[in-house]
Order: sequence, then C-alpha cells, then structure tokens
Amino acid sequence: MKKTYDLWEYLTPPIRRIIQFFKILLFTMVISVLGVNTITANSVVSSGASESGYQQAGITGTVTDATTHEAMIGVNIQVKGTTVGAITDINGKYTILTADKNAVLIFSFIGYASLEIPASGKVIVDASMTSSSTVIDEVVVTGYATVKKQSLTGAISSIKTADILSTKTASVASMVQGKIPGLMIRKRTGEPGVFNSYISVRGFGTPLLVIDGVIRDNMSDFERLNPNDIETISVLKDASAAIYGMNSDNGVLIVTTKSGTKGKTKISYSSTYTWKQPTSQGLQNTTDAYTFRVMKNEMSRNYRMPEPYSATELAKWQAGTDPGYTDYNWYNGTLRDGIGAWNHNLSITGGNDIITHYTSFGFMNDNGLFTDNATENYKKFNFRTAFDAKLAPGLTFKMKVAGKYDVKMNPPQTFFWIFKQMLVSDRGIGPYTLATVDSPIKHYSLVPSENVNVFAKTSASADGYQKNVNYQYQLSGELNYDLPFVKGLTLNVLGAFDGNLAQYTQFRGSFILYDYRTDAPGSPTQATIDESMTNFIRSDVQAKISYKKTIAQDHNINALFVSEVRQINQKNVGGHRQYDDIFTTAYIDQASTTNQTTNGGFSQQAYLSYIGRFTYDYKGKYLAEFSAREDGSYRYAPSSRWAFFPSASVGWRVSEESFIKNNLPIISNLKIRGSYGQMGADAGNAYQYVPGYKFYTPINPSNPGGNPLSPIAGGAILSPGILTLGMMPPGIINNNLSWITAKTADLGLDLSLWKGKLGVVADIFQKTRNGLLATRATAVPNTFGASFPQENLNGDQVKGFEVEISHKGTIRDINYGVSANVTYARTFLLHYERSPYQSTWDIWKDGNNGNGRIQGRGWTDQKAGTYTDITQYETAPLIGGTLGNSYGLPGTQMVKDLNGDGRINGDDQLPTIWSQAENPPLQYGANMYASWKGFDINMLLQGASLFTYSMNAGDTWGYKNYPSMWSFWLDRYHQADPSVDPYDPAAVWIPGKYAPLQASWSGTSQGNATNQWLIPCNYLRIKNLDFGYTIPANLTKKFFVKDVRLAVSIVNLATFSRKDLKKFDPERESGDWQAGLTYPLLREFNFTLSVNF
Amino acid sequence: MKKQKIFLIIAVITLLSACNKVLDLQPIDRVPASQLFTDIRGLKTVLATLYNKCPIEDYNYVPNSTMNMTGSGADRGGGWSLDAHTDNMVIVSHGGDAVAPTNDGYWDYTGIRYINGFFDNIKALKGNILDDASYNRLWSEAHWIRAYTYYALVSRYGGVPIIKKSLTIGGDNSQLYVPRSTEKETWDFVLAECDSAIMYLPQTVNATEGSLRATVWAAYALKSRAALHAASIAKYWNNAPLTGPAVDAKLVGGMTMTDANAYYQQCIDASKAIIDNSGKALYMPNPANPTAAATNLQALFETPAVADVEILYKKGYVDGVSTQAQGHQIDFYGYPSQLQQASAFMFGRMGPTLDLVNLYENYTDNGIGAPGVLVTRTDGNENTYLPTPNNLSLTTPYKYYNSQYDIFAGKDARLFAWIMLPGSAFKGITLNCQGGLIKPDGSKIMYTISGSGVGLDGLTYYPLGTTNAIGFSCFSQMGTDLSANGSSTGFVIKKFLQEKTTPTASRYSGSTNDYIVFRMAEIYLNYAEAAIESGQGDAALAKTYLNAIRKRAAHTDQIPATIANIAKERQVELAFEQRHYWDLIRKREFHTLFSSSRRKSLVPVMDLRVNPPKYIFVRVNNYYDEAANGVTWNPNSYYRSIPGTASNLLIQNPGF
Repeated sequence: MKKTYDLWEYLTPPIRRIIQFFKILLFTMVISVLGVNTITANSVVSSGASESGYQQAGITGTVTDATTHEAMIGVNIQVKGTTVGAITDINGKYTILTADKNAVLIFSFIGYASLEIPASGKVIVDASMTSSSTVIDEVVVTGYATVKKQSLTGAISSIKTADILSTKTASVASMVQGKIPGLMIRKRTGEPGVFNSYISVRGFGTPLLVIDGVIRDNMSDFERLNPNDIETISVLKDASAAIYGMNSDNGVLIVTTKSGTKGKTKISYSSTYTWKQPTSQGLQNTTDAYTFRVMKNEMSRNYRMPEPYSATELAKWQAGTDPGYTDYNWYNGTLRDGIGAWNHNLSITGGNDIITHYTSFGFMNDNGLFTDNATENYKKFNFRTAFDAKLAPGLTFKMKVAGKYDVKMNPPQTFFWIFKQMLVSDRGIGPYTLATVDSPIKHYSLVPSENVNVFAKTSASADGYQKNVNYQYQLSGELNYDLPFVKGLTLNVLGAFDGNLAQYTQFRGSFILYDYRTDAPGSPTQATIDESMTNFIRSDVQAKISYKKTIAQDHNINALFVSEVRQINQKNVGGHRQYDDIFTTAYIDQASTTNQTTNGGFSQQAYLSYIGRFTYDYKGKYLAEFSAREDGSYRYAPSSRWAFFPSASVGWRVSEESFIKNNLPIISNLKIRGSYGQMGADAGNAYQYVPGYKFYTPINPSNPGGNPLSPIAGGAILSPGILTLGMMPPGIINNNLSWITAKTADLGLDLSLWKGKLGVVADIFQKTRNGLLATRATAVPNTFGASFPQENLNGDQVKGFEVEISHKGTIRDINYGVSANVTYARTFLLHYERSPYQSTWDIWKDGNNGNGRIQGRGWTDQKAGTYTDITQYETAPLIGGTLGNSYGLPGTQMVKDLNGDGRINGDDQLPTIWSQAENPPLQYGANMYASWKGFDINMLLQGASLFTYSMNAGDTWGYKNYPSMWSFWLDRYHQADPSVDPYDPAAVWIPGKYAPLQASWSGTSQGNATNQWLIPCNYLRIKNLDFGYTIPANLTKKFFVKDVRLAVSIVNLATFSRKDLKKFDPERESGDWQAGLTYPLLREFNFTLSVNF
Repeated sequence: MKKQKIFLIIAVITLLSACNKVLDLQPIDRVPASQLFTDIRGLKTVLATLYNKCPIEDYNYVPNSTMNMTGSGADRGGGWSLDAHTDNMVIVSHGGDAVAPTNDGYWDYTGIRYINGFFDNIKALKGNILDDASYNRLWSEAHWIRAYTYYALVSRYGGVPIIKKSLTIGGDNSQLYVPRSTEKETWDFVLAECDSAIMYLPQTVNATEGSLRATVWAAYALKSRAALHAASIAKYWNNAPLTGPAVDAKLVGGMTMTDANAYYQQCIDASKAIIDNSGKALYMPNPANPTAAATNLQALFETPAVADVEILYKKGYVDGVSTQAQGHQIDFYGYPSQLQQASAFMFGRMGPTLDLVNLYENYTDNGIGAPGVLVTRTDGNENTYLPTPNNLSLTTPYKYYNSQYDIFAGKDARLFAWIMLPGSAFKGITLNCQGGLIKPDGSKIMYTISGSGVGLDGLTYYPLGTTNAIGFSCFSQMGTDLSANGSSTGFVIKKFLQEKTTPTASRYSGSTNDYIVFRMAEIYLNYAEAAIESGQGDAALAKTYLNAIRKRAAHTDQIPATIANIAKERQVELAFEQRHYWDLIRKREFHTLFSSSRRKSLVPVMDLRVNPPKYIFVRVNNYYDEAANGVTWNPNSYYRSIPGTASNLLIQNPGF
C-alpha cells in the first residue's frame, strides 16, 4: 500500500488530476466489461452485389443531390425493419436485394435529411436527397473528434463547402460572414492582400483556430485558405471549446480540409472573374477649385478676416482657362473606378478501398484601385493534397500537405495618408508642374496642404513600394489503429509540422517635387531599402487513445485521452541601407553602407497538454459529456504554469420521449442542452519569474511608447569616445503571474418541426473572465523604485444570446430555404483595478470601467439645437478657451450645459457613442436560397447595429485646415447678402444643414464633438447575391464533361442604412483620426464557370 | 505491418507520458548575475547604467522634459539650457511661459534602487572578484552618484524620502512607505554622501579604468555646490514665505542662520580642499589682451580637452546620429539660422538677452565692476525700453553706427567668447540681426521680411537685410509669415558651439564635445560667496579669487568682493552653464526678479533717412514677454509638486 502511495506522490499534479479523472472512466469500463447482454451494435450491411447463389427480386435506382443534381456516392440504403442494406456506387446507383415488393427504403447520408420511400411495387426507386444544416443526422467536428449532430451537447455550429462557396470573395472570413450564428465578423478594409477582419465568437474576441486537428493560430491564415479546400468549419462557442484548454476561452474555429473521396477520379475546375468597385463613392465629393476659393472668402469673412481672393482672381478660377487656374480632381486621378481580379481553382480527387486522394491548386490575382497597378496588388498560389490509405486491417494512414505562396505589394506610405492627401490636396494645383505638364518628361508638383504629391506617393517608380512574400507549408501525418483485441479501442498518433518564411522589402525611391508654377526643384527624397526575413516553425505531436462501447444496447460510452506537445519558434533578421549617389537595384547589398542598421529577434513557445474526455448517452435520449484538460505553458514559473480546465455539458432529447413521439409528431427534434466549463488564456510577458540583468534602454517617462521624445542609449561614456553598454538590474520577480481564467455557461435549445421544415436553434450564454492583467493601483509607492508587476486582478463578463430560425421546403420542383440568425453580446467589467474614487462624479464618469456599465461607450457633448440669432450668444453658456463665444454665428450648434454652470467643458458630457472599432455587439444575417431544375439563386443579408460612425469634425472633415473642402459642407448657413457684416444682428441668414463656414472654430461651438457628428449605425446589406445555372448533364455528357455551372454573384450589392451613412461604408472603420480615410470596401461582381469532369 | 503496429503502440505510450522539460525554455534577453559578474567588466556595465542615471543637467537635459532625452520635449522650440528659464536667455516660441518653473518630473527612485542594488552587488563580490581597494573605490563612486541623485531631488522638492537600501516587497508592505525627511536632513544626507564619496575616490583616473569616471575632486566639487545651495536656502528661504503642512513639518525650508553658517563652512572647506590640493587652476589665467582672452575662453568650452587644468569633472559623448547613442545637439540647436542645413528646423533659437549683455563690463571701468553701457542714444538715456521697435520715435536721438558690430567695442572678452553679437563672424558668415528699417519718408517696417524692398541710390534694402531665408539670424519669426528659426533677442548663443569643426552631421545627436560639469571658476566663486555671505573663511582670499576670474578675462583692475559683485560675476562667468537658474532659486530671487517683467532685446534697425544708410540700435522688450504681458514667478514654484502623493502618501509641497 505504502509503495503505491509513494508512486502517487511522485507523479506530477497534472498527471494525478488526469488519473483521478480516469478513475471514474475505469469504473465505468469495468461495469461495461462485466455487463450482461453485450451485443454487437449492428449486423453487417450487405453490399449491393449478390452474395449468394440464389436470385432474389431487387430494387434499383439512382440517388442524386436535390440541389446540385449530382449523383451521390456512398448513400446508405436500408430496407426498413430489416438489416438488409446497400450503398450507392460512384454513379449514384444502387441495387438492393429484397423480396418485399412493398418494402420501405430508408436513404441516409451524412449531412443530408434521411428519406423514407415506399417501393410500392416499383423496381426502380430514384431518390433525391436534400442537404441541410438543420438535419439531425449530420456529423459535426468537435474537439479531437466528430460527433453526430443529434448527440451534441455543446453550442456548436458548422458550415460546409457548398454553403461557404455560395459567396465569392477574396477572404474566407467574408465568405462565411452572416452565415453562422454567433460568429461575428467585420471586414475592415478592401485592400487586396490584407486579411485583418475582426473575427469573434459571441463578442469574446479572436477565437482559437484549429486546422485539421492542429492549433494553427493566425486568423489571417484562416482568411487566406483556399475556400474550395474546406470540407467543414465548426465553431465551438461554449464550454465545448474547453477541450482546447489554454486560449480557447474565445471559442474555437475548427477547419477541416477535404480528403479524397472514393470512386472514379473526378476533376473539377472553376474560374472566377471579379470586377470590383468601391461601395461608397461619397468620399470623392470635394468642391472644385473655384467653389473652394469662393467658400474660402466666405469662411474668412465669417471669421472677421480679410478675403484672400480678389474678384478678378476668382473670375480667373471660374473661367478655368488660364494655365494654373484649372481644377484638378485628385480622387479621379489617383483611384480607378473599378478593377478586375482572377481566381482559378483546380481539384482532383478519387480513390479506391485502399487509398483515396485529393489534390487542389488555386491561383488568385487580386488588384488594387490605384492607377499605378504596380504599387498595389496581391497574388496567391495555394496547393493542397491529402492521401488516406489503409495500410492493414484496422490501420489507416492519413497525410495532408498544404502550401501557399503569396505576394502582396503596396505603397510604402499607409493608406490613411494617401487617402488624406488625395482628399485634402488643393484642387487648384495639378499633379505636374505647369512647365512640364505637356512635355514627355513631367515634374511632380508640390501640392499643399500636405506638401507632397499623391501621384508620386502611389507610384512604384517614384516613392517605391513595400513587398511582402510568404512561403507557407503545413504538413501533417496521422496513423490510426483500431486495436483488434479490444473492440472499440483506438490508438492514434498525429504529427504536424508547419512553417512560414516571410520576406519583407521596403524600397523608397528618390524623387523631387517641383514648384507648380515656377518649376523650381525641391530637395530629392532619400532612397532607402529595408529587407527582413522571418522564419516561423510550428510543430505539434498528439497521441490519442479512444474507447467506444455500447453496453446493454442503450448505454453508449465514449472515452478519449490525448497528450499533446506544441512548440513554436520564430526568428527574424533584417537590415536597412540607403542609396547615396546612385540607385542600383532594390537589393540590400546593392545599396551603400552609410547609416546602415540591422535588427533581429527570436522567440520560442512551448505547451504541453493532457486531455481527457468521457461521454455518455442513454438511448440517445440523455446525453452527458465531461472533459478535462491539463495545460502547461512555458510562460509562467514552474509552480504556476499548470492549468486545469474541466467542463461538462448535458443534453436531453425531449423529442425522443414517448410522450412527445406519440402525441406531438410534428416535433421531429427537440433538444435542451446546457454546458459549463472553465477555460483560460495565456497572459502577461513570458519569463517574469526568471531574474537576470537586461540591457538598459531608457524609456521616455512622459511617453513610454517612444516618440516624439527619444531617449539616448543606455550606458555611459566612461572613457572618451567609448560607449560602455549599460546593464539594468532585475526588476521585481513575478512568480504569481498566471493565466486568465474564464467560465462559460450556455443554455440552448434545438427545435425542429415538421421534419426539418422549421428549425430553431437558440442559446443564451455568459462568459466570466477573472485574472485579467492589471497592476495594483496602490501597490507600492513611487519611491520604491520599481513598478509592481502585473497580476491577475481584473475581471469582466460577456452576456448575450443568439437565435437561428430556418425554414425549408419544396414546392413542386422548387427547393427553397430561408434562415435567419441574430447574435447579441455585451461586455461588462466586474472588477477594474484603479485608485479610489474621489467623488461621486468620479464614480459616474468612470462607471465606464466598473459598476456594471456596458463597455464600448464613448462620451461626447450634447447638441441642444441651433443658434438662429446672433443675440442668443449673449446668454449662451460659454465655450472653453479665452475666446469664449466671440465668433459664434447663427446656424452653429448649441451645446447643452448639462450641469448648468454656464460653461461648456468635460463635465457636460454623456456616453453617447458606441465603439466604432471591433465587432458591433448586435449582428444579424439571413440566407435565402431557391433552386429549380438547373437554376439556383442564393441571397445573403448581413447587418449590424449598436455602433457609431463618428465624424471628427475638428480635423480632417474640417475644411478650415486644408485647401480643400468636402462638398457636403455647401449645405450650410450663409448670408443672403454677403456684403453685410455677418456679425450684424440685422444680417439675414439662409439656413442649411451645417453651420456657417468659418476659417477657424476657436470661439465657436462648431468644433465641439457633439452627437451632431455621430451617426448611429444600423445597416443591413445584401452581402451576396448568387445566381447560377447548371447545364443539364445530358447536354454536357457528350463532351465528357459531367456538369457545367455558370454563376454570377455580387458581393456587397446594396446597403440599407441612414442617408448620412451612405457616403461611408458602415462596415468599414472610420480609422485614424476618425476621418474615414481607410481603404474602401468593395462591391464585387463575380462571374464563375465551374466544370466537373 | 506488425512492426508498424508495435511501433505505433510504443509511440502512443511514449507520447502520452511526454516530458515536462519542453516547458523549461529560457528567455534570451537577460543575463543571470552569476554570468554577468565573473569579472569586473560585468560590474562596469551596471556602473555604466548608474552613470547614465546620474542627473547631470547637460546638453541632453531638456528642462521641461527630463534627463537624457534628445531632440524634443516641451522645450523643443529649439533649446536646452535652464538659462532660458531665467533672465539670461529667451528661446523662440518659448517666451512668456518659459520663466515658469521647469517641470522635468525628475523623481528617479528607480536610479536610487539601482544604486542600492549596486551596493549589494559589490558586497557580494568583495574578496572574490574585488580586492579591498577596488571595492572601496566602487563603494565611493556609488555614493557620489547617490549624492548627485539626492542633490537633484532636494533642490527640486525640498526634503524627500531617504532610501539607503534595496527594498523588497512581500508580507507587510508598510515598510515601503518611507516618509519625507526634513529639508535639512536631506541636505545633510547629500553632504554625508559626498563625504563617503571623498573617502576612497582616486585623485586621478587613467584611460584604462575610464578617464571620465568620478575623482575625489568631483566629489569635493559636488559638495561645494551642494553646501552652498543648502546654506543659501537656510539663509534666504524665508524671503519667499510659504505656508502649509510641508512647511510646518520643515520638509521645505525651516532652517536657521546657524544651519546656514554650518553649510557655508562646509562649502568653504570643500572649495579650499580643491583649491589647495587638486593642482587644478584657471585655464589661461594671464591673457595678453582681451582678444587673446576671448580666444581662450571660447576654446575652454569648444574643446574642453585642452583645458583639463580647470576641469574637475566632465561628461563625454559619442556620435549618435544613426544609433541614438549618446551624442547631443548643442550645435543643431545653437547654430544661427544663417547656418541651417537641409533639415531646416530648430536652428538658432537660443537668444541671450540684452539683460545679460548689459552686465558685461567695459575695460575702462576701474575698480567698481559696474556694467558697461551700450551707447544707443546721444542723449544718454539708456534706460528706456520700447514695447516694440514700431514704437520708436523718429525724434529720438539714436546714435548712428556704420555696422551692427561697432557698438560692442571695448566690452568684456567673455561677451565676444560666449555670445554671438550682431555683425560678428562665425563659421564664415557675418551674423545679421537687423530687425527692421526706417524708410526715407520715416515710415517703419519692423520684424518682417515681407513687403517689397525699398530702393535707395540703386540699391534695394529689406527690413531684415535680405529676403533670403538663410540671410538673417534674428527677428525672422516675430511676424506671422516667417520661419520660427532665429533668435528673438538680437543675440545668439556661442558658448558651447563648434566653430573650428562641424560635428559629424549637424543634427540630432550629432555633436560630441564634452560637457563641463564642474570647473575651477565655479569653485572660486563658491568660496568667495560662502566667505562673504557668512563672514567665515578668508575675505581677502575671496577677493583674490573673484578678481582672478576677471583677470582671466583680461581685466586689469581689482573690484571688491561684495555679495552683489560676486552674484554678477557668477551670472556673466557661468552664463548658460545652468547655474543661474539655481542661483535664483537658492537665493529666492526669482519672485522679485520676475513680477510682470519683460526680458530685453536689442534691435539693430537700418535707417534710410540718412544717406548712406546707417544702423541705429533700439532697446525693446522681448517680443514674447511683451506678448505675454510680462512674466511672473509664483513663490510656490521654488519647490516642485511631489509626484504621486495619492499613492506614496507623502506630504505635498505648498501650493499643489
């Protein structure tokens, strides 16, 4: 006894906890072994061919897909009430041997609704099966396993190839947007090659990404997958994600790629041509050079300043004929109206009983909107292959190899600046100097107000370019062995090795800007080159034991144990050089060594996990699942690096109860399920427990981020001319830092009526996080000399619901369906570490950060109306600043003096803004489809609410800072007679939507950020409209082509929203400075030809 | 097949019991003490960090930002010197607000923590890697840096918490809440730290050890400066009475004349120790004539290496153009805007005031020490300052000069050595400080380049002498349409600039000439002030030292060692060396000096009413101070606000 005890002590705690968990499992297994009446689950299904010598009457037929009309391979057909069955061959044909002329045939296939067709004496029975996401026979990929949808106890949604491919666009995220309840996606940019959509499960944050059973965590990798290669995507939204342990608290996105299918080799080719244009054209509307100058006079007059343009000068601008007096629309010169892109995909699949294969090639050529196409484009090549082989009875081997090569080109300057330059450049200055505009060698002109030239900035031959090249590969191999001596026991080993080599080049050219009128040259810009290379390696090894058993017919148990090791290494080197006198070529060794710099980095991660799961169901009626995971992270001290993540979920299939079955046959499925689990997330800087001296790099106390104040290097000059590098003593050692814990609860209902005609899936959920990082507000005095390390102090909570309702049906030959989903999730802070409140005002204002107020709100002043008469300023509350209201005019917004102190300041604000970044808390989508013979149509609606588009009136939108003006400002208060002093109370004003134009907003309330400048966003957009026609097979067969499909699909066809939101795209972020100067989202017209051979 | 299956089973079993060791990764960015301290070189890297943190107000001190910052900050209007916060200098675009107290936020208890940790480090290595002598030296060196650190704290905040050992957290953290010591206790601590430094620091340092490390003379010099500061506060703190809990607890002020005399004595003793024992003296004490004196005195700061005899401690630099290493940008900021280069901003904005220029004597003034007067008018009225040059009256009898330079003839050599005067030559240019012109018809154009030139006798004249942007160094920014480069006072700083050579690149971090932290002239003046203020020490020696400094500037007469003469000598001798700001603080003179006051500028104006045109010089209020309606010093500003009192529970200073 004692010896056993010692061994127990010797084991590490994670192993011990797992063993304890499996004690329960063992106990159950013992019972099962001792159990009586153990029988095999099912009789062997007989194949279609005749086994015996004597003839029996048979029924034959063909099974096709109701939507695609393709023959279906491998459909299971069974004679109801018997064990007689058959499977369709590669042509979708079957023969079933039965003497019963009135047999009822049950057709079943994974992911399709089962059919029961009475033979009614016929010898040929054809069947057309409908694929459905609500059908209950579907198999769903969950953590480390697949589960029949009807047995699911967690909140898991999934989507299959066909439903993904109904939308055609460059990013997989955009292709599934609006289609999966609970998966919130917001596209941020239409820039080619940029994959940075906000992806979040139920508003939790970025989920964990698993591709083919391996954590391959980079959402841009998800977006860049070849969508044709995806078999299914599962989204684990609740405690079911806990099986993935660390970092699964935001949910898990599981992508399973295609494997080979048995049968004759099938070749598919599809090609899509896309024409793209910006969704919102409103941005380009700046006033022309003449109108702007008229307005410039008006704004000067309205601010008691002399008018800068004389009548004769204005007349010249109005005529626009003299050189130097013409209008130039920068928008049209910089951006195209639209651009084309190509996408090609080829896949080959086939196989036999021993081996199956799948191989695909994809190529995408995407282009940007800039006139100079060399500066902005994206090319991607995908390759993927999968082999499944049966090596021996019970022993199978799977291999997957995927590769990707992509190249992205974009200008060195960020798009914000380019768009800003495009829209604030003086339209009275042309891109080339007057002297050279007609000559073959043109000089770029210097354009106010940014004093650059956006043409030069978007030209690869002038300002240069940035180039990102990625070579990515993902390899995995898996051996699976069903042990013959213990039925139901399976061993499995999976190894994966991924890598990515990223090459980055930034080349800045040397060019000169000349004075527009005099052609006088400025100084040339410095040509430079930066190159860097990053190598990323990930390896993952998993070993699995699983055991499956049915006891006494009704008790199904399933147990799984996995151990997993995951390691990640990343290393980068880079350098910078400049070109001194001559430009050679854009390779770093061809530039001069003047001022050259180098940089490099290395990082490592390692994780070790033990995973156990046990599921049980009784007659498929009562379902339960328990799982536990022990995760070790390299990040923390050995004493606090192991995390234990248990979870449990239960389900009750009420519809299996006889009282429903017998009394309410309209209910084909009703399941109530609930789950609860504990998850976690890595947090904090790694190695805080390791003491050691570091290089001393002073930080700027007033701006710890860095610029604009740059600290000089650490160390000191102890001998003339020699810098002795400085080492900094260790900070506070942090042994207490640990992971963030999250507890997730979910209550859900699955309902299906009239055999799937109406389906409802509804969930409410709550996720509570504890241990978010924070530094104790009052931990140590600042005389201690070191900052207190971060601890796991803060907490927050997300609550919400999601509902999906679907209906599908058939009217004569028309199959149709509609489904709609909505997700709402909001976040509260539970605990927020801060120094004590000083006043009740403090509490109210800071309620943002505690006391249960919903997160994601911003504060602004409140608009109280519009001043209509200049005398109203005599009693108006004062605007801050020394000028007060001295420049107030009729037409300007009144700002509410909330606290009535006669002054407008920060104390007069209310939380009026919803965050405009990240995912809006309320999102919805609806999908509709119909098919008739070879025609099909599919429409996806997608929308979001509870966010705000905030125009920052004070800056970029403000004409007063720039020699350019958006034309919407023309709808303004202005004087009937401009010769009257605007400050004369007798002046007559013609009202407009906006306040009078003024050269400065000091001394007026024009610039106050009130709700006047906020546009509440609610939008619904036709995200996708897809119309396709499949040419009947009997026509195409002659050409050895199985089927041909032509489709037109339009992405972002139309958007329904408030009128003033139309000039933006509501889905896009307002970006830097809240100026809306981000890359436009695109409306895409896709023309697709798909051919199957 | 069987083999494969067995292999698989073994693999699964092996993997299931995977080894925990994979998690034991090590960070790549830190070195354990065991590896760092295998020899003295490792220790030196930690020492280098302490020197880096030593709060020397050098070229890389941006007074409204913090220590060791390059380039910018709140004083980024192109300046660096604390003197810009006094009546010695105005920095363009930092006029009216610049006399506010400097707000550098210096509160470097991180540095103190490093120093205290360093004591632990060397203790652990004593007898092992460090022999007794090495240990003692490092021990004293760390005390010197700690003395400097607390000196910087006490001069800003009064009494502060004195923390002498590494504090650790855990358990009862109340031990971390060290209260403020009184101001007297803190000064006593600074002086005691100096004494610890004096104990074992060497008299000389060689290149192998690091010739820019502290010597015993650096420690004495710090003590001399700190003791004088403490003494002045003890004597004068009540000249600007403050109230509040910090005053009641004697955390600020609260000292007596007895304390003052004791501190003066410490200053006298420390200064005398240097004068008598260090072998250091003034550089070039007996110049042949004022021109030679001016050359010597410019060289002292341009190339401090030649003047080692005068220097007690200096700080070195390495070129930091491409690496952000420890270079500085005195030339980048200081060069007059006529010398601006490609990246044209922040040039020549540091303008010495007419107030300072006025203080320099004439050589004709025998034995009094009265300032030499610049003659701008023929009626002898030199005390009238106009709000702007536009206010000048055409009937005022201004004196005509043929050049901008002639008016300065006969003034103290130090004026020529350290201040670029209108019309003087520097690096191939002639400094042009013309600020306006009077047209033949008597109308005036001032402070602007715009407007057409005025023709006279076939020549065209412009208000600033030219419209070429690199043709003038002053007054260009006073209008609305001009670049902000240039001086607003009519003078440009010269003291530290490289004239003989051009730094690697005249931009941020491009200059590497040494910064003199302590020099003999200050020690002489410290002695003289301490002796005269306290009546202790030798008054005759005080007079000798005072006049030795004047003699070095080619004065041949002797002036009496009065408090006023010593103060004036400090201002002119130590101009721009950061001393004047602290002198005004410690002697509580700021609030009387600045009470709706305007610093002064001298504007050369070309008068076209005479033919050929000649220059007149107009005494005006500085543009920025005038625009701000004068500048005022609030007595609460003698101490800074203690940072973080909400969490460190310290008693706040008066007025915050």
